[in-house]
Amino acid sequence: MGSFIANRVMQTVVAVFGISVIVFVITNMIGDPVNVLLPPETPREQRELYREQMGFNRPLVVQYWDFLSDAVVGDFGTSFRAERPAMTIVWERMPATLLLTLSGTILATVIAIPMGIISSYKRYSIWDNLSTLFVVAGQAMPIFWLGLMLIIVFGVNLKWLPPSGYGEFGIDRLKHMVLPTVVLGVFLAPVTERLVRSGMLDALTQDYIRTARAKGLRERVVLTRHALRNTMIPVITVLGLQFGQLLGGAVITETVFAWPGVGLLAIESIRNADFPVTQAAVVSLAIIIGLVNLGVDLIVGVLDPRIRR
Amino acid sequence: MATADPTIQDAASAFSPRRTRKKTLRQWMKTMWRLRMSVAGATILAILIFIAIFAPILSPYSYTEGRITDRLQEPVWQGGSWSHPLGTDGIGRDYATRLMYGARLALSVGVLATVISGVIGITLGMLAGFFGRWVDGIISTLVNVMMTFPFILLALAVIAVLGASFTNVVLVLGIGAWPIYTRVVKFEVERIKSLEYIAAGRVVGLGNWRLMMRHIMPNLFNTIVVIATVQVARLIISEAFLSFLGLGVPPPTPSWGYMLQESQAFMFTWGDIWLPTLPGLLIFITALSINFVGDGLRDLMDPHQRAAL
Repeated sequence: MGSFIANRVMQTVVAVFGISVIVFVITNMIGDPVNVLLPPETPREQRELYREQMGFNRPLVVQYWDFLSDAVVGDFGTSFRAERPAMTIVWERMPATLLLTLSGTILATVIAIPMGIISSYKRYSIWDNLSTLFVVAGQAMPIFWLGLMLIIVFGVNLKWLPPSGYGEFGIDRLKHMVLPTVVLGVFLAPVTERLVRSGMLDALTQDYIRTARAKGLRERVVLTRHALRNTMIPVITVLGLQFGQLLGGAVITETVFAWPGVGLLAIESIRNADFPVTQAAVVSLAIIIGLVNLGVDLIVGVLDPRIRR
Repeated sequence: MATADPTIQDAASAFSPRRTRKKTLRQWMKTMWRLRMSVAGATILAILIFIAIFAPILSPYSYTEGRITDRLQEPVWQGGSWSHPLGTDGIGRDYATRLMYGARLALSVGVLATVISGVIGITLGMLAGFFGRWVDGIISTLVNVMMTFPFILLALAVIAVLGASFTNVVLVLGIGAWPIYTRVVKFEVERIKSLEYIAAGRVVGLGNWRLMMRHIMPNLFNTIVVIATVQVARLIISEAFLSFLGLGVPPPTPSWGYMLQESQAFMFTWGDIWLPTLPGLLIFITALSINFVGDGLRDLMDPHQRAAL
């Protein structure tokens, strides 16, 4: 058990480390930070002096070591644009991302679980076919276009809901959440539905289901308490492991709706060549994804000894 | 490549029994009916490919230039003229023409990026599965790092570094999308490697290279074709998203994603709603047809996986 945990923790650390290397190399290639930090009319000598002062002329490996030793204590430097610590800016944006991720996941689950149950219970029925259609359509849907169309129809023209932004805390926030949540839900529901359906199909052929029925339990209880409950373990595992994909969907949704989360921040900072913010945002997302993956693996590992190898 | 090799064929027929059907016309029709959605998908896809190839012949207009006096002509169903059946865009370019050239871009980026990611992913998966140990260790770590992170963010960063161009978009999407092949191929290779005919091959003194290329590779073909098909659809959507953010193939080359971005300027009246609708609908239909074709291929070539997806 101990070695299993140690192994998984190690893997997570390596993955986050790998991401940090990639993002560091990429951001340092985006452009010369000196060009971003100094006005364009600065004379060459002054630029060189500045470069030396800031240490931008040192070998990349040395710079990376500096970056890493600060990053491990959460210091990613100061934003080139906002002149505030990059990490603070990222943390300010984090709640918006988590809120959207949470609401999208909840909506996807609310759609996918009943659909998956009906689909597996009445296999090849009209309901099964309809939900298959939903899944296939959902997987082919460019969600940024879906978002755009929702904005145009419900936000701009019908004016039922705010087209974009984050809103004020309270009812206003809820209104702003509706459209992005729908988009993220549509992104996530198909995968979840397939997992529930195949899990349920598998579970329904098991002996314990026959036993439960033989005991005279009502069908609803058999389905939810017995079949669904056993199905949910693999569903949660797979979803947990795909948390990175989920955040990818959140990034796309944030851009379309100008939702002020970490994803939008990352994209803005890439465009502005604001490296410290890009690095802080990307590494923070990687850490969160890594922790979620790790958590899911450890919990499942504890519950199900077959997973530990 | 591998045809006159009895080991392969014997092993293949022993482990994945092919139904050797006598194809009478009736059975043929029956198969076609069972795969009717895939047949429909393939038909639409064929039409799209035809349009993409023959766009210059099919349209009398240029995709880069339009007459500003003709701007925002409505499509025929809104009372527009047949000289521009799908209307014109904000600077008077024929919308149908731009959509046709957009198909050209979408399909070529999708296919090329899929080929690149396939080559990288299959090679790495083959190496990891065949050699195991530290080779597998390194490659699996790499897969973990890539799968941990929302790939779209890395793609954005890389495009920001390299600049937006056709080649760069293809490269970035290709280099980002390989892990899915590696995972599947590695798993399959590990399974096949333990089969007797590989041991037999070793006994008769076949080298690693020959075993991999002639005795394992052909068995992976079906699985790879199925994944690759669905990947084309995914990458077309990714390309559209990059273009939507202005980080795809630069204008005036018409990309469906970029057309969506341009159409945002006309989202404020119901009358202009066809502008954002059409490109998105085309992305959706293209991805949908490809996914249906992928479903059919899976049905025909790889029955084991049917339950999984």
